Formats: sequence, C-alpha cells, structure tokens
Amino acid sequence: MLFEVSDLSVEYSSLGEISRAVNGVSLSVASGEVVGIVGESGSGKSTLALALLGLTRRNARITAGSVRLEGTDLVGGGLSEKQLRQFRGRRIGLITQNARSSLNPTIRIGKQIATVYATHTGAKRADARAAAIAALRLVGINDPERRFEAYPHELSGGMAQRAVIAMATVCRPDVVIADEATSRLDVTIQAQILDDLQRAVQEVGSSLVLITQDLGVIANYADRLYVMNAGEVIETAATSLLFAAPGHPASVSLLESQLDLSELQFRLRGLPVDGRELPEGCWLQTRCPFMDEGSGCRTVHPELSDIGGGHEVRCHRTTVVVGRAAELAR
Amino acid sequence: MALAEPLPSGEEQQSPVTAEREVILGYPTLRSHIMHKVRRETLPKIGLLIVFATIFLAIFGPLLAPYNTTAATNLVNAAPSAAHWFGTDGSGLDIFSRVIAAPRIDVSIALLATALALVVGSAIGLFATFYGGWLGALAIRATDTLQAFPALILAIIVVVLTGHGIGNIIVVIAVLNMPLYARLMRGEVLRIRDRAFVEAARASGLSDLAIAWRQVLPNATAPVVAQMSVTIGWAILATAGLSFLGAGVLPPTPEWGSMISTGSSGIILGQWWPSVFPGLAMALTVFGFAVVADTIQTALGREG
Repeated sequence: MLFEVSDLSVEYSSLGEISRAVNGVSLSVASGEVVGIVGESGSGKSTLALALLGLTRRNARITAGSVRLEGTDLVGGGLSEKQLRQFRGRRIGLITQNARSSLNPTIRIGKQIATVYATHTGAKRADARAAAIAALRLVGINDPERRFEAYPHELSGGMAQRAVIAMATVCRPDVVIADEATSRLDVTIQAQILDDLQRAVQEVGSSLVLITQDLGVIANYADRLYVMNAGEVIETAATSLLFAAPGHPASVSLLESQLDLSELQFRLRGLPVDGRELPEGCWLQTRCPFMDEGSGCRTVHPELSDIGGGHEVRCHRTTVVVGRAAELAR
Repeated sequence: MALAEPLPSGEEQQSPVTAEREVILGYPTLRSHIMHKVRRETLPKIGLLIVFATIFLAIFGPLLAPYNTTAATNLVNAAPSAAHWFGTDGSGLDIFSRVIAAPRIDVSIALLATALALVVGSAIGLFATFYGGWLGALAIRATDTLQAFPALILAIIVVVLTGHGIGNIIVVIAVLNMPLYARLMRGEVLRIRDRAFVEAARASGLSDLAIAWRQVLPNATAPVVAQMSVTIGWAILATAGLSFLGAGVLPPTPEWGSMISTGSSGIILGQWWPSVFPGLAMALTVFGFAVVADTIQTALGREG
C-alpha cells in the first residue's frame, strides 16, 4: 500500500485537560486512488489531516500510531525534522481549508508556489517560476503568467483555492490531502474546483485524500470512504456500497442530511461528543436514535467489524440500522 | 435505490454567471493609505516636508552654511542681523550656520540608533517568540527589565561611565529602544504564528527559519515602521538632551543640545538668540517626525 495510517491518535491539552481529537484511526490509500474522509464538524478531520504529515497544532501531540508512506513512518520512525520536511509538500501535499487565509497576504501567489518548489528541488529562480506557472495552468487558471504576479487579495475565492491546489501539487507529490478544499465556495464553483483538483492529481499521478463534511461533494470523486465521528473511523466501505447500505447511525445521519427532507428521523441529537470526556461504551450513546442498553451501547465500546465486502462498521446495532436505512431509501 | 444520489458532476452545471470573475476587494495597501492621507490632509504634508528638509540638511547642511561652523568671527554675542541671520554666540560663532549644520550630527545619530534598535530589537522579538523556549523567554524578560529604567537617566549614566563619543551615544540610544521593538515584534509574531498560512507553509515543508523570515516577518513590519518615526524623534531629543547636560556631543561641534546649553547662560542678559534658534529647529524637527509617525499609525488603524 502506498500510504498507510495505523492506529493514529492525537490529543490536545489545554489548561491541564486532555482532549482526544483523533482516536486510533487506521486507513490506507492505494496508488492513484481517491479516498474520502467524511464526518460532521468537530469529528477530528482537520487534526487528522495535519497528523497525516506528522504535524500538530501548538497544543496538540500525536500520542500513538504510524503514518507510512511507502514504508517510511513519519510519526514513530525517528525521522529528524529535516527529513520530515522532505516529505511535507514534496511527497505529501496538503490543501488546507479556507484558501485565502492559507496564502500569505504579503507575497505574490506565484512566488509562494515557486518557493515551495525551490525549497524541495533546489531549483533556480527561473525554473521554479516555470514550475509554478505550469502548476497554476494545470489547476485551470487562465493566463497563469499574469496570475503569478497577483496577491491573494486580488483573487476570487475559487482562484485562491486553485492557487492553493497548485501549491500542494507543484512538487508532484505521491499523495494530496484536501481538507475541506471547497467548503467555503458556492456549489457550482465547488464542482469546478473538484474537477480541476481531480484532473491535476491525475496529471501528476498522485493519490487523493478528500476530507469533507459534505457527502454529496465527495460521492462523485472518492473510490472509498471513511466516515469519522468523535475522532475515530466508524464506518468504511467502497463509496457505492456505503451510499447504498449505510451501516452506522452517524453515516445514515450524514446521508439523510443530503436528502433535503422536511423531517430528519436519523439525526444525531445535540453537539459532537466532547473529546475530554469520552464515555464508556459507544461514544455516540447520548446522541444516537438507535441506542439500546441491551445491546451494550452503554457499556462496551464497539469494534470496527466487517459486515461483508470490505464494509466495516463500528456499531452494536448495525443490522437494525441497515434495515431502517433501507426503509428510508424507499 | 441508493439512499442518496451522488450530485451531478461539475461539467453540467457550469453557469455563465459564476465563471471566474476576478473580485478586487477594497483592500488598499498601507502605502496607498498613507499617500491618501498625505494628499488629503495638510498636517501630514507639513510633517513630511519637515522630515525631508531635515534629511536634506543632514546631507548638505554643512556645505550650505554661510560661515565656518567652528571658527569664530569678530562679532561676539551679536543680535540677529542681515549678516548673521540668527546672530552670533558668546564665542563669536555664526548661529545660523551652526543650526543648519547640526542635523548632520543629530539626525545621523538618531537614524543610526533607530536602525540599530529596530534591527536588533525586532530580531530578538521575532526569534525569541517564534522559537520560544527558555532562551526566548529570557531574552524577552531581559528587554522588559531594561524598560523598567527611566530611559534618559540611564542614558546619562551609561554615557558618563563609558565616555563621550558618538558611537557610545548611538549604542546607548539604540539599546534603550530595543525593548520596544522586541515587544512590538513579539505581539505581531504571537498574532501571526498560528495563522492558516503559517500552518500551510509548515505543511509544504518550509523550515522554521524560512517561515519566520518569509511568512511571519513580512506580515509583522507595519507597526514596527510606525514606531521607527517615533524613535527617530525621541533619539533627536535624547541626543540633544545628553549634549545639553554635557554628556553627549561636545562643543564646538555644531549640535542643537549643546548650543542651547552654551547659550543658556546669556538668556538673563537678554541674549535669547543663541538658545532659541537651535531650540526651535529641534522642536520643529521632532514635531515633523511625530506627525509622520502619527500619519503612519492612523493609516494602520491604530490611533495615536
């Protein structure tokens, strides 16, 4: 497997309290594959995205697990900071959410992209410029020579997002991670950007990890999906399989929210689970419409188990959920 | 049937309205902001004029002086006249020549001291904050401690102990102003270091040094630039103050502070001109720099 994450955990600590944001996440991405990671906001997606590069925010740390790119572990592999930097941007590209604030407001976008290229390849100025212009062209920016000179505030949201994609792909990485790459754009632009992203990624031969809270966005692009909740993977399957027969209440809830129904019957109640006080048993027990004490929802934390065809679900009540979800589909 | 239909892909929904239209937001640069103020208001114009005149005199003043600035004429304590516009002092030196020659000393000291304070102070603030750790904390605390002393008194003590000399004065004024720049820069770094573009730079494999230098620094310069103008004005006052007290530049080198000092003994005899003209020149210069500082600061959205 090209990119393999196993048992990855990240904790935030603030004012002496520990919050578990990512809990034992395992996932794999094959060469050329497009993998989606879906989850409601607050489910640890952005923390995971950073951790996939061996990075955390200031008050967080990776407590366990490994992130292997072609066998090299970026987390527990004892790589120096300098060695790690040769992976970031060079072999794994990250597209962060909210493009405009991901670009330095004081530097022309072309130069920002060229700097990433020059940092990793040691290219001369003119070569770095050419690479940056090629990267801008690849993501569908017209007249890239002129856009090269633009400052971030001179670009529209969609243009800025494309520039960020160009920055993440300029070194032709093995894996591109797109964290909510389109969530702040309107729907038509979203689709254009995702098409441009997909084309750019295919062109440079990268795998793609699409992280989003919007299942509708991801459906056309991802080969396989991982659904996250409370910082853990609660369901994974091929995209078509998961759409056809979701097995976890949280997945059903996400799918249902796409349907534009007047009444949501599978909606998870209340706020995301607080990572500081994860309960015994299932972490969704207080929010879940399928919660059943007799099934052990309050006492036993469910494991991810295969329900057929590589479709794995972390729920005590999967059979009931699948049945009810099928009703909904009719 | 599937629970949810995947959305149709992008190609079918391309609408002419949303075709990439460049949105230029009202996001004027600091420079255009300042230029706008200068064009529209009178005071910034005057301030800029004074600053440019002072710099001009710092370069050409001694060449323009009608009399030798350090060689006495036969006239002692002469009142202002057509020959000696500002009169002559107790040693028979032409005051006008000395007043316009003085910026070379005063402004050079002020500019060099400010530059030194800015570079070293900002560097301390930038790296101590960005890298953090105990060494960084120590550096910041040390600059804080320095700020606890009354600046001018500290300057006098140091200059008296280390001896006169322009180099000493520059270093002392610079050291006294470094904490300000360190603090300003620290505030900016704290504001910027967790911004999304810094995270993005980290994710694209840039080194800490490259991030501090290329990502953080360019976004942190504005308040530092505004402070610069304030420091220059303060440094001119401090240089003159030190010289006035005999701890700075010594006569007969033309310098405003020492001129005021030598002239002060004659004031009770009605000989006001040896002190008043250098005093006015200095006040005007400091005023000019203060106005410029104020203009930059209001352009930054930080009043006064």
